[in-house]
Amino acid sequence: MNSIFLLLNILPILFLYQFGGDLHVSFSLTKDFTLSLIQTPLGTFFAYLSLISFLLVTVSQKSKKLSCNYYALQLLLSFAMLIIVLAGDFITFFIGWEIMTWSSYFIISKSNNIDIKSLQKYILFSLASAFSLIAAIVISYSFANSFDFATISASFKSMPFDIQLTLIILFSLSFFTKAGVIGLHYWVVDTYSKAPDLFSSILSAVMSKMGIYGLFLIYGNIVGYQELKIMFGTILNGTDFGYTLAWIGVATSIIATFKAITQDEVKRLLAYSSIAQLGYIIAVIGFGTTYGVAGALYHTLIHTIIKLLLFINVAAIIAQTGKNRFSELGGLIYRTPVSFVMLLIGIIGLAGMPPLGGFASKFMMYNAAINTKFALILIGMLFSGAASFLYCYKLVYGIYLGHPTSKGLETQKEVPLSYLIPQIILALLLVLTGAFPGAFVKVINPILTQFSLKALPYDGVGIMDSAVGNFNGLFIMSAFVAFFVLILLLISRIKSKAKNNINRFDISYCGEVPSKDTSLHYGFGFGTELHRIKFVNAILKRSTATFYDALALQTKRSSELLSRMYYGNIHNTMIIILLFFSALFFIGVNS
Amino acid sequence: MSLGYYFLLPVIFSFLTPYFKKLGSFTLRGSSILLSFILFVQSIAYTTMKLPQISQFSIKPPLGIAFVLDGYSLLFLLIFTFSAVIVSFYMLWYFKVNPKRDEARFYVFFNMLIAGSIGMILSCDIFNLYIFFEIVGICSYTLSAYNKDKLGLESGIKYLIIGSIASIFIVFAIMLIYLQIGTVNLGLIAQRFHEIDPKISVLIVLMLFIGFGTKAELFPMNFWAPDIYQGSISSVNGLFSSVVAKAYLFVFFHLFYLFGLSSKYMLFVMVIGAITFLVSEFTALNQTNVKRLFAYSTLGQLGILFMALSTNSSETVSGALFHLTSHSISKLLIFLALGILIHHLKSTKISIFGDFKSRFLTIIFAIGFLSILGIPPFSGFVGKILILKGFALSHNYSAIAFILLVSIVEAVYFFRLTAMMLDKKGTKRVVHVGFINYILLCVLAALIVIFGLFPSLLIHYTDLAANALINPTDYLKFALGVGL
Repeated sequence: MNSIFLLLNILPILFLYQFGGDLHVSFSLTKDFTLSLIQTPLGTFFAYLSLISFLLVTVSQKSKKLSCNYYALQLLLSFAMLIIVLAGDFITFFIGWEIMTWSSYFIISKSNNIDIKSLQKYILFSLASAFSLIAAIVISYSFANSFDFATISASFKSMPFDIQLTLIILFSLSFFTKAGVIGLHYWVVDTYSKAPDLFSSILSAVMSKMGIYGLFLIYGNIVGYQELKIMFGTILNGTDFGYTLAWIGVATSIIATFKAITQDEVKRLLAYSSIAQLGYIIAVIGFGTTYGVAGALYHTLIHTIIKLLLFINVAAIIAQTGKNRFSELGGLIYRTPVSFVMLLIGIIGLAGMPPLGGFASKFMMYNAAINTKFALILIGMLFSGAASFLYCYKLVYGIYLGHPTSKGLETQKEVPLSYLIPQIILALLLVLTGAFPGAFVKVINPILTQFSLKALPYDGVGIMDSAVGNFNGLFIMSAFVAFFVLILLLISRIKSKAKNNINRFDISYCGEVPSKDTSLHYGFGFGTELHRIKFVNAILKRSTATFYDALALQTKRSSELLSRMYYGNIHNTMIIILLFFSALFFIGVNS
Repeated sequence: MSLGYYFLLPVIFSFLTPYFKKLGSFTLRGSSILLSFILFVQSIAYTTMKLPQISQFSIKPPLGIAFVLDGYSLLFLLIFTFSAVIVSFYMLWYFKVNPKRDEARFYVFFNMLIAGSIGMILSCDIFNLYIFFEIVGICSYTLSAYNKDKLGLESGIKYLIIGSIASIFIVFAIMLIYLQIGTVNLGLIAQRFHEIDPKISVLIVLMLFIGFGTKAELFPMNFWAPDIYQGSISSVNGLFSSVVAKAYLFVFFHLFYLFGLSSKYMLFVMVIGAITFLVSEFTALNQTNVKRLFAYSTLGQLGILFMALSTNSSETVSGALFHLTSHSISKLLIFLALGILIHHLKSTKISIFGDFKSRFLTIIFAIGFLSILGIPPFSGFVGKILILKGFALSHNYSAIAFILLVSIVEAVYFFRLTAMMLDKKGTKRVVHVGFINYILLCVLAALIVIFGLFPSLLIHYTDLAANALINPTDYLKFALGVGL
């Protein structure tokens, strides 16, 4: 089963490669609706990103016994995303968007630990996002008389300002919901943590990127960065619009980072981290400068790689141990060393440390903020970047280091090869993107041209150019590897005296003997101390859940109130009809 | 086949039903299937003919009575006869699993209901319209009381009372029209309606509005509807939702556009439709009985249709008619599948959605729900986007926002049911669908998917219907008997 679907996942990649950039198909649905697929550089980038992610996840699904339905739905999802990124008009885009919504809904419902409430959250937020999208689509249709991207883009300039603003807000809301901007992220954490473990990687790495694709489509293609500048005016070296968006993104990333640190469930931490990373992308996406767009695109790529790597890694550990909390894991470094190295590479990328690709993308984004002189934004991004070290540390520490906190962990085996192969490929990609950041310039430049922005200079495959200085990825990587090898040699000379395989309860301190419930992992409860910082505590104790729960409660109450009318007393119905008639008659005759 | 015979055929079959019963249940069931099949095939044959068609009885209209079939009534004819085919096949299963029911009693009224609905959409004079209105009404009362238990009888008697009130209003309206113009021919009334004193015409319009609005389940007059749905059997629910309510809706808008009412009335109907939609969807959230739940959902969808049909723009009206067709198919699918579920689980609680195990039924329900919510690639999507597009073209953005916001409320309960079906916890009972139902539900689901993927198949007819509805010049010519 797995191999068949593996093959079916490769086919679209070959298909896309075959067309080589000039795919143009259209299909007439009715006389008003023509569905069309057009390949743009931006769409192609996202298409490859999603298709390759699906392929890698399918590889790792080999050791899971999944049903044919599951694979078929996943294939449908991949197909829907392909439609979204290749769409040439909004109807096609919307059809892809909705198929994505329901096919992922049915996949998530196949999880063992999903409950009705989380499913409801997911689908209602997705539908709200879709409905805001369709509202924007039909409103733009009323002015452009077409659903075509090109036509709408051409007629956007002639729309009244309030309509332009409404459209931008509606489109943004829709895509923000998918990307999980703070306030609209209520569904994200529950869904990511309760979805099937391997499917979470798709949700975080690919599906959230459809929101980013949508934002690029609207800001870059439909509205156009030049038009945004004219519409909203400029501030410092950037636009007012970009500045507002940057604050939304930075707020998202800071809040989500702190929330991530305090999580005990592994996948919840990754979900919050995903929100935070997308916050960076949203922060720079509106700048409308070459570096802003380049940084957002580069980080999109890097985040996809990292989140695939981390979610597959964690899924493997959860599948192997059956435990999904930091308070139940720990000390797996000796049992699953390869997984540990992969996760280490992943978190180095996630924290944005050199020499991996994570640094290159962060460098680009910081660069964009410096370039537009958004100093506060830069500080915010640096702050949240620094704070993200903490959850990265928690991730590696809670799972692999310290003492094992549960009984079965001492005898774990390395995770199956099907989980490791995609991780190794992804880790290699992360190394390569770090060493050859210049290679990406060639991918970005056509997209920049598509947005009519200045292209990035290309100084060779190892160098990433910027206004404030160059970053030579190849040199740093070589230096780092040399240094690393040196240290490794030194360490290997020291003989370790520590004995392995000691029972974790073979200790006693101050005369106390730990019971079985005592957690000996001294990273236990990591992050709770953050509550002592007033500013962080203020963030942590607030939650959008309060708002949405109140909304649900009010809806329920009004529903109860309205349903009291329908209690089935026929006399009252008759009286109401007669009263209604007399009221109407009175109004009708007198007007 | 001439329209007169087309109408008479189900009447004859209905009167012959007691004799068919003597010939055995096979003949009885077969005759109903045969009848609905003939009607459906003939209505397809009408699509190839030149429209409008007329069939007059002895005297030429406007003095004599006549049946006129134009594009608008053709679409409804197709929907009604198709629903009749599906329901008559479904009854095979129903009487197989409920062998002690009185079959003849069902078929007499079923055939008569079809006859009445056909008469209602073909008739071109308002008094005959009233007669068919009563025929449909009486058949509905008896069919809703088909279950001779407390709920069934309650629903029957309630329907009877409300139906009588509605007919009083309509009779008065017809009387006033006759007093003012001296004719009952729709063509003549349409021509001379503006000559009536405005105060009287307001009264006439209001009386017709209350009469047909009550039957078509508009907001302040629809408090009876969920009780009726709750008390009757599922196939009858399907008929109510996809035939009876739609027939009243047909007449409502037929008269609405024939009389050329001003935009003030249109705005009024749109607002009433919007309130119906809002109230029904919110009320549905709180239901614990599945039949009531889907009854409220039907009311809500009728609300959207009332909003969209009263816009006087051919784009929106065509979209609304597409939505109407798609809703008829989806609701028929849901009610028939619900009947199977209720039969096996012996309960009408909402929790039955969590208690059954059948992958087929889960998929069927999911398709029905997604289609009603207007999610691609199912047929409901095309209808909804056409409606939204129509509203956008007339720059009526508040209607768009309203429909979309309330649709989220609708999604809450539809997806709650879906989540219950998909939930793995709890004990589940295997439900066997049965061969006939398997085919029927497959046909309905296939239609939903086909109309979603290739909407141009249906849009041709809805465009025709929308044009005939908004520009009834051809219809008027035939109704007046010009050039016959």
